[in-house]
Amino acid sequence: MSEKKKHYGMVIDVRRCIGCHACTATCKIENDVPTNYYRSWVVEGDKGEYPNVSRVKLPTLCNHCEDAPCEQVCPVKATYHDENGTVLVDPERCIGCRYCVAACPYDARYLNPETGIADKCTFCVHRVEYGLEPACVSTCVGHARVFGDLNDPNSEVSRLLREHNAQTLRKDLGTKPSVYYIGLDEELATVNYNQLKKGGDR
Amino acid sequence: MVTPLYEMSHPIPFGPMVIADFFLVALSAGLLYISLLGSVFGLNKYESLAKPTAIMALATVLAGPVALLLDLGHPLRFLNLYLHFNVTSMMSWGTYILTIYIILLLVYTLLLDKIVKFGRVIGIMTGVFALALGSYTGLLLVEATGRFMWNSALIPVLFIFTGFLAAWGLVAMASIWFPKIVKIKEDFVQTSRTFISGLLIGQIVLISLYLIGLGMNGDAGMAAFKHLFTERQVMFVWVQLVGATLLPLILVTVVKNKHAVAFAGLLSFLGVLALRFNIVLAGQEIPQTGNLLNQLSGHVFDWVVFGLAFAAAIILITVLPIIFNLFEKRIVKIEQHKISNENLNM
Repeated sequence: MSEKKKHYGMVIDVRRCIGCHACTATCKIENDVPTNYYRSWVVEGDKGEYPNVSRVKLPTLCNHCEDAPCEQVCPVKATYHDENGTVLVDPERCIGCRYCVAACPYDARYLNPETGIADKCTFCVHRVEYGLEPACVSTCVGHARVFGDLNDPNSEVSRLLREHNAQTLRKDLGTKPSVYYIGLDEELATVNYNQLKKGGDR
Repeated sequence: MVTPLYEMSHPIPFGPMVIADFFLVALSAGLLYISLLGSVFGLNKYESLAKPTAIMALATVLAGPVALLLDLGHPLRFLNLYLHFNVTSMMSWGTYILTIYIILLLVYTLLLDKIVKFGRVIGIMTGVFALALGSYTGLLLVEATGRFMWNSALIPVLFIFTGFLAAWGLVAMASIWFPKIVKIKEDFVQTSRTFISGLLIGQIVLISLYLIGLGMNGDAGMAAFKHLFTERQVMFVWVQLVGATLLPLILVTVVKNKHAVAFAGLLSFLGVLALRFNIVLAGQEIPQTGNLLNQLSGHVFDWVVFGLAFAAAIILITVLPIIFNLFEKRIVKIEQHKISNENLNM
């Protein structure tokens, strides 16, 4: 019987996230992410009213969607799924049109000002192919991020998905993300349209 | 309730250069339709407009993509657009639509003076591609399904329709203020008045329908609706709706002066440009994640190219009639030479 193809994914147990932002920092260092741009970041907020307040977090990165809008819109087929289901950008083919950046519903892409090509999380493919974990996973002090093969029933990610009611972001769009969340705070995960405000200068 | 403490805004990917392209190519499609009125649809009244508008269509469609090209992270890799076609990408389709349209438009313009059966067929084909060109810029936005302000079937219709309005605005301005430059010999004041007023009313209807649809689209739609009237109030309410839709409508319907029509044309033209700004930018300002509005990076280079695209269009509008004139004179000379040679041989 042929072995089932790998499908890498990530499970983030937000209950374990302590909001240290080490994943954000290590990702920038590991992948040489330019100033003011991020491949992975953590959104934080306070939930409730004093004295019943708790801190909620949302680690964010490319969702490596199975039906990726960025792949659909790329006019030169520079965005593709590799054999492990990871969404990557071919740096030799990308023309830097930003269409994928506009189409990504997770705001996970940006045009790298130094290379002129679309950039985003690669699940640290350069580490994974040598048997290492993505930098954000290996650095996470709370072990909130778990990376592995979603098609392998014995992997830790599969076990976590079996044992917990994991959720994905913007499920309504039908993009089939490969990043799952345990203990996701729905309110933090969705835009509060009544609280929109201007951001700072980039 | 969650009070955000740490979140980030994201740079807006489609800026002024993309907007310049969207506007100029839709304007070209609109100009071509004006040209087709006399040459293909057989409306004799508009025959003298056929050539000048075809040349203006060529000028604007050549200037627009230059801005888009300079917006690329790797402009020299634009050939990849032809080499790696992606059937699911509107931008991929747009590349081919634009290229074929430019070729057809050039042939159509060259054949216009001797519009024979073949020329008419080319005209119809160019018209079909103009429709595709006008709608593709809208469909390109629709395809980004995560951005609900763009995800409306009315966007492509609005873009085609307003392209036609901007084209009439340009014709009104050109025929009244610069008739010699654009070689429009007849007076189109009354025609421009009729078209501009009708198209402005049509634009009001379409924008109203779009806003109603937006407002009915849950919290997100209502937020976008509010965003247009608050954060983008200056550009949307005062520039686009009042200054560039209601004011020109009053000018063309109340003031009986040809300069008022030309000015209304200018305002309508700018209004269509403002509409592109509002839809393209507002669609990206509303965040998809987090609660911070996204912001335009505001690089000077973007605005310089934006200005250069319009400057290039103006230069081409001025220069192309001269080039076409020289080309025609050359053809006439060759034909005369042929006839005289034939006569000598007889």
